[in-house]
Amino acid sequence: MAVLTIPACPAPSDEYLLARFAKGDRSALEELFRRYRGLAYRVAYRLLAHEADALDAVQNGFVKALAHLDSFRGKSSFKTWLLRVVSNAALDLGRQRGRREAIGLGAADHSLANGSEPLSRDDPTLDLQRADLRQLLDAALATLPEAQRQTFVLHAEAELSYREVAEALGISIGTVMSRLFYARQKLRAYLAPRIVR
Amino acid sequence: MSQEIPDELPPELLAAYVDGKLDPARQATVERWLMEHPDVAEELAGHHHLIQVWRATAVPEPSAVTWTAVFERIKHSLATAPSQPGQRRVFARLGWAVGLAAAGLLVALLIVGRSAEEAAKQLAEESFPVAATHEVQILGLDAADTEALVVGVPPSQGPLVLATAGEVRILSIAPDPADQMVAELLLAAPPDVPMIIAPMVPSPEKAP
Repeated sequence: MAVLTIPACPAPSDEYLLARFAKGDRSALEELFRRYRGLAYRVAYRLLAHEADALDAVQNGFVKALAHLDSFRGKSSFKTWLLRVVSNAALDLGRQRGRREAIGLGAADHSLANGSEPLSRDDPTLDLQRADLRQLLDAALATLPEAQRQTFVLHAEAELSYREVAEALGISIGTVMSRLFYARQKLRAYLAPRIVR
Repeated sequence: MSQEIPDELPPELLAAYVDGKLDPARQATVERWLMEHPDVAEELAGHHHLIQVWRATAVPEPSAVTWTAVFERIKHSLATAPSQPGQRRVFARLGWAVGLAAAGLLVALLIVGRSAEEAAKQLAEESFPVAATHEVQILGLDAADTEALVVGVPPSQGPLVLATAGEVRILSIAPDPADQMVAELLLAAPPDVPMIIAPMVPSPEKAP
């Protein structure tokens, strides 16, 4: 019996889906949302440190991006452009609502001030440690200027290249790199006394 | 890159080193430099550690139910937004037209509402400073305002006269011999609009 291998259909490109969406195809919208909702949420969450606010930023970002497709001139990828819109929406929301403190953040820092041991990465209760580490990272990120925070999150969380971050933010690649250096420097300075290697 | 060890390395280069984006030659140069600068080497080791901590603290994903709710809200928002870019532009133009018409109507009402006689009377009673060119020093000027700046020395050969447009009769207009520029006159002004006249001494051949 012959074995026939049927190649899987390649996933439709973003450009194809956008064209379908522009013609009113709602399934194209669903696919675009499914494709980028996770990444958009992680970026928004890192910038806001609050689940509900991050979901609002994702919603606002998708609506803005898709309602203003004529602004997307194809100079960057749709992913890069969408993440720019979502991260800007997150920063706007953060300014409007005041960047909320992460749940339990005050307790985590307070325990350190009371002389508790810094968090260790080699601890059996790893899930709890991860949550505390994330809260510390959230607090550290809040100390960064907005431009550095946005640049850092787009690179570290969305894993955009230097060029993609530069395109998203309308800055030079050199500026991206220097912002990354100084952001890491500030984050390290904040975290170093609070985390043991 | 040069084989010499520089005193400092730019932050862009150090960021690229941490991200492993340097070619082998540059990476080797940075590593040689870091051997001479242990404080910076420790700093960059901290940056590496930060990246590891970041990757170890992944953001938890919302549930499928949450995503469904968000998607429904996005669909609803998009359904109520203008569907076509052209349609949105038409709405914007209409909005601008209505706004400008309203502003124009308001300005016209303000102007008509004030009686011309009151304006002339008020202007005659108010005193305002008059300065000669040498008494004025321009400290700054926006480029957009340069059109309002009169350049040159006005032909003021006597005391200034306050008159209304209806009291002035233009006999002739000729370009200034110095720069061949013709003065711009408000010929369409109502007859009772106040004007400041700098009478010139008429040349003999121009006397009526």
